[in-house]
Amino acid sequence: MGKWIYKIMGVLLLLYGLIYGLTASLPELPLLQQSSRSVFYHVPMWFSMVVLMGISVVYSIRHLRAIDPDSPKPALARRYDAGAVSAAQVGIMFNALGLLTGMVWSRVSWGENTPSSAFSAWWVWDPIQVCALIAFLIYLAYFLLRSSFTDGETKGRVAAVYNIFAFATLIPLFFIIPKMLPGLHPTAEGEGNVIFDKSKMSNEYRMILYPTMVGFIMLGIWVFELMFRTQRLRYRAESISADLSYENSIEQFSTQTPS
Amino acid sequence: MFRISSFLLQSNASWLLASDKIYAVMTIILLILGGMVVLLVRTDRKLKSAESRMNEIEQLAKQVNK
Repeated sequence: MGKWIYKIMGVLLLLYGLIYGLTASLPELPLLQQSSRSVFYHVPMWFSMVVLMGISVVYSIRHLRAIDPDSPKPALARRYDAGAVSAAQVGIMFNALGLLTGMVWSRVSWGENTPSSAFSAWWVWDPIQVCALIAFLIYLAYFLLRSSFTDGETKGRVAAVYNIFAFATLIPLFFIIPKMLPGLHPTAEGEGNVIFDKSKMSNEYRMILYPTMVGFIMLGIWVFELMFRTQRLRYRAESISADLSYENSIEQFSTQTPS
Repeated sequence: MFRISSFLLQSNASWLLASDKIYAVMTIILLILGGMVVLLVRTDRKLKSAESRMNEIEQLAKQVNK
């Protein structure tokens, strides 16, 4: 039952965020109109992504410690690698959802007078938009890198090292570069064209945003847990079949070899 | 005492009310969320049974190896 508590909490928080976020009477913001409700569903994607990438990098570090020749628990290395890849998979899904929700919001707030067929209606090359896309590509490269190795041990080791550097790039990409450049996001440097100034965001918005954010993070952890368990099952099945085939080959060898 | 937000204190503050379209969007999103939760719960249960079966197979494999 204990394992279900965070899942139930997550679903309840999401229900609250969806129902109250879409129906509550909120202070009107200039230009944004009803699209200001998007903040409840766009911003949590990025926080969930950072949390999941954080989980992934922790598993990568544990993997590297487990494969150390002096490690007391080398058998756990594969398990930690499974955790790292599963968390990164869910994290990149949130990254993609963040980009998509951002594009839809951008279409109705920044590209209102631009025809839908125009690329600029959906993508305005805002610094944080570009940084988010770069982060997406960096993590896509992580999966490409993994798929380029056939040996499980090398794959785990190289991918774990890459993952640490990939996570380190998230810090300048999301927390430093966008704050140094002028842009349309609330995190941009200077006043700019910011409509949704987070320092002026009223409590009515915060009361919905923060619980929804926790709800999305819990949902992400739930999906991660399921993917992690699936990956571990696959590894366990592989190791059983490897053990059995090894035993069979020894048996065949002993029967074929004349005594 | 209730804490009144600074926004409410502004005399020209106008309010954003839910409209018909928003209810339609909410219904669709709630259906998607419901479907996703059902899928996750089913996957969770299936994984649990697969894990217990895997434990049995591991025991059998150990016996075979002995």
